[in-house]
Amino acid sequence: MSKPNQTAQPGKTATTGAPVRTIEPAVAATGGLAADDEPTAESHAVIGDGSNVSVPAPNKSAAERQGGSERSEPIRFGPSFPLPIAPISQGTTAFIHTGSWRYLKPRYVNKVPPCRVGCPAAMPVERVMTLVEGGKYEAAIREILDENPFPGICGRVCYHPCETACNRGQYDSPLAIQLTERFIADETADLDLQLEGGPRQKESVAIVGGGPAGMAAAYFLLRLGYQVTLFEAENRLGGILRYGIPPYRLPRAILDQELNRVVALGLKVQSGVRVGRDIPWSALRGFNARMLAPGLGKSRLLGIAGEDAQNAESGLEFLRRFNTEGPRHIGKKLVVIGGGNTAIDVVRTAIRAGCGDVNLLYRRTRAEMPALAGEVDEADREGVAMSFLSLPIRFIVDTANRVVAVEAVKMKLSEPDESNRPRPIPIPGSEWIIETDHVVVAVGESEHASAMPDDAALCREQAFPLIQSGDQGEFYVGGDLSNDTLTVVSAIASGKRAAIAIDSDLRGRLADWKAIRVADGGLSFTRYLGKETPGHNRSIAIDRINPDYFKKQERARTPRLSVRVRVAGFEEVNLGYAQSAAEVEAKRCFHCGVCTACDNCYIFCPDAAVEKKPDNTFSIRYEYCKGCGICATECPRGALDMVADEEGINDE
Amino acid sequence: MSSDSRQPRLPAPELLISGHSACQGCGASVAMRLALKALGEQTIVVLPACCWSIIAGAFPYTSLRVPVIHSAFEAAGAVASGVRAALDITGQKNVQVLGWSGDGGTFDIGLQSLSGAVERNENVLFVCYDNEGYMNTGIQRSSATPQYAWTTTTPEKYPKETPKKNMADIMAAHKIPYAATTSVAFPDDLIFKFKKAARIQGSRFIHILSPCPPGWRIPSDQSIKVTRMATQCNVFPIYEIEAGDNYYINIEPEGVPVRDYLKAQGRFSHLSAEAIEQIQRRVDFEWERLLHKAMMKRFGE
Repeated sequence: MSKPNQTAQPGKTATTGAPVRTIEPAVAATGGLAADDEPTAESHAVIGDGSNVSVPAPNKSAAERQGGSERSEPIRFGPSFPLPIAPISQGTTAFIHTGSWRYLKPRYVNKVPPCRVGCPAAMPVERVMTLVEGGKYEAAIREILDENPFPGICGRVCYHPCETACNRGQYDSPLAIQLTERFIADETADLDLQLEGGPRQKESVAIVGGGPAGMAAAYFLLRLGYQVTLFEAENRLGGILRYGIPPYRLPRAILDQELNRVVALGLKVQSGVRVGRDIPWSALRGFNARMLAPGLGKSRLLGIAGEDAQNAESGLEFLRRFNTEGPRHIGKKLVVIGGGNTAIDVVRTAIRAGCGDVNLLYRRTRAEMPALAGEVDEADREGVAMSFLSLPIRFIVDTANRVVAVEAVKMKLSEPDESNRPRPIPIPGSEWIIETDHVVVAVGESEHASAMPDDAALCREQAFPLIQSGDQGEFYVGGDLSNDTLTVVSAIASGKRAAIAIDSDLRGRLADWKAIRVADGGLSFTRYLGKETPGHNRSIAIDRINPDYFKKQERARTPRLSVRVRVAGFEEVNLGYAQSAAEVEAKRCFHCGVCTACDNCYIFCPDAAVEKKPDNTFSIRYEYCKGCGICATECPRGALDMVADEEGINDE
Repeated sequence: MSSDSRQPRLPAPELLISGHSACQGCGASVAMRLALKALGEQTIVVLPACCWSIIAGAFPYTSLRVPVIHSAFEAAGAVASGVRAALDITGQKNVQVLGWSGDGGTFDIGLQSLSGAVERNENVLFVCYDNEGYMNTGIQRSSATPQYAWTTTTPEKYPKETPKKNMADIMAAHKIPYAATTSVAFPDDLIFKFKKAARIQGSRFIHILSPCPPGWRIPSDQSIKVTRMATQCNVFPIYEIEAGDNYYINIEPEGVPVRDYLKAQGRFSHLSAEAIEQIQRRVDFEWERLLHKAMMKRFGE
């Protein structure tokens, strides 16, 4: 861009490479022209035709210089001494490499946005938001499906840790990532995406358990080209998604559609088969790899009197019966014990089944409830009576072994326990009795007795957990059995982890677990496939976002069914976003740490050292960059870092 | 990097040549770069003594791809008038003459010839890139230096007691077709105003707030950010004055307290709470007065 020896006149080139150009005094002086000289273009020679100026030879006198190269005789006028020469700069500053002034240099370093780090399934939220903003929904769903097979499901039931991590949450309110994901899933539901798989592999894989973890593992293995057979104890696929989560949160049409997408990739399903009961564990020996994702099918008990009564059951059992058999009569009054999502699903289901008096007992306060806060709020709105700091101490049973009342005691919170939540302790003498027709206990789950071979144990010594059995050998593992966080998205992430572990073992391809992990978040399938390079694999905090470029704007409201309509049936409560709301949300994205070609670095560079390339990327001409740091400070999203210059000038 | 194709925000010609000798983070070079992008290459720059005399390169080099005439400190208005006359005589009416001076060459030393030129309504675009002091000679106060700002000639012990001169109003008092303020922190506004001014005949004046990291005692990377704050807190409102009478405010301020702007700069670090309060009152008063002017019925309507 910088031509050497640029003349001061645009469009003209210098006649020589000499840096100095002089004007004949007759022209440069304002005293006027010689009488015999016609006014010519030279009268504006300073800005005029470059051919009318002469170039001095180094050793000529001023007088000689005045006798220009084209005139035979110098023009003389005025006093007897020569008039001063007007000097004109002819060279440019381009030869001055001001980069040597610098001690810090800017560098484009794309980061991992915190939303993606927060998502156990490593969903590329930022890229998806860019695509939604541009209305490219098919490209967006493909981006999501590269990391998560169940956007329609997660868009409804996920606990959205991405939104908790969203930097915008510290500015006004976090981006509605979940609702945007759901919008994309619903918008593209009818597209035939023809998801490509890898090259067909001859190896076969057995997966035990058709819940979110097993189905996610199946999905990724199928996309890697394996022959996958899935064993499911229930009659239908889905696990907790079908037998636990009620349809007002997850409509079955959505569930079936997303599970069918996996089956359509070529999954062989053996449903109604519990391995270890219906077929022996040894039946899996013929597979090249085996994975267990049985979930936690057994409910914990309170260990108090009357728990074995006829009309007392566990939360999972209650939901399972509702979700398979449909609504049934449980009486007018119900007591539910627990503070997790299962307990909330039970009370909200009961309200819809016509149970008029639903009491929820939880031994801590609302703030400590493990259930999603939004779900608790909705349960509240739907008329569930919640008794916090309340612990049942016995179920009062009649002669027919039916619970007729629950005796509970009030609690107070004390110092934190090992789960870092305040420990509830009973207040003596505060007991009271609640009459009821039915009792549901939803205080957590543990693994089913036949979930794995008898002598098996979970081993966490490798990069990924394994189940080792003396008789049956090693199993890859996913889902609640191996997870600390018992959520749908963690299950999906564990299925992805198992699929990657299986592929890397079977292919002898060493997975670089650090590089395929997005910063310190979840594993990325895109990175495992080499479709995305890790780059600078770290995240970015709010202090690198420049608030001057973002207007405060609260997130779009979540449309919901009115309470009156929703409690009358099992219609989906959250109505999702319309296109306009999804676009507004996408526009709110900070794009933390990712260049969006906003041009700020290019606009504000005082040294014209930032070059914009035709493909909307930028490069810095380090020979001129003085290292002022304006580009990094004015980058709205922290995509530029100032780094020590010792790292070398051109190590991009 | 995302590859979404947004509208390019900057006009294409790059008329500033790298390797120029401005300090790190210099606002004046951003100002010139953006102004020339807006005006294009059919422009002649008249430079009286100012930072830009240095930035434009030591003889025999130049950092601009347009012709530049260096003039004496006090003479920008006169030299620009002469260049304009020469262009007009030779029929080159399409060439813009850009009188480009610092606050010294506009507020102080060049005021007389500038006033003369605009009073004659010379067809010249005069620009003051205002860094609020004689910065390239070592940070001396000018009449553009804000009240109480530290400079080497207004040390803490002998502060500048008088507030900054209102140059846009002085220009407007000449009833010239167009006067405006803008800032390097608002590049879209700056480019818009230069393009608009280029289409207007007669004298035009644009006052650009242009940060000086060494003179303002700020880190070079904060240069744009601090300048933006000047507008956000109403210290430097951005507005236009058409025909000398009709005021239009272009950027809605965000109501940031002046204190935030002052505290960001070393040249104000000695200010007492009372001094800050006094500056705030002055800023509030001036802003209100500007609002009144902007709300007045347009002259001629």
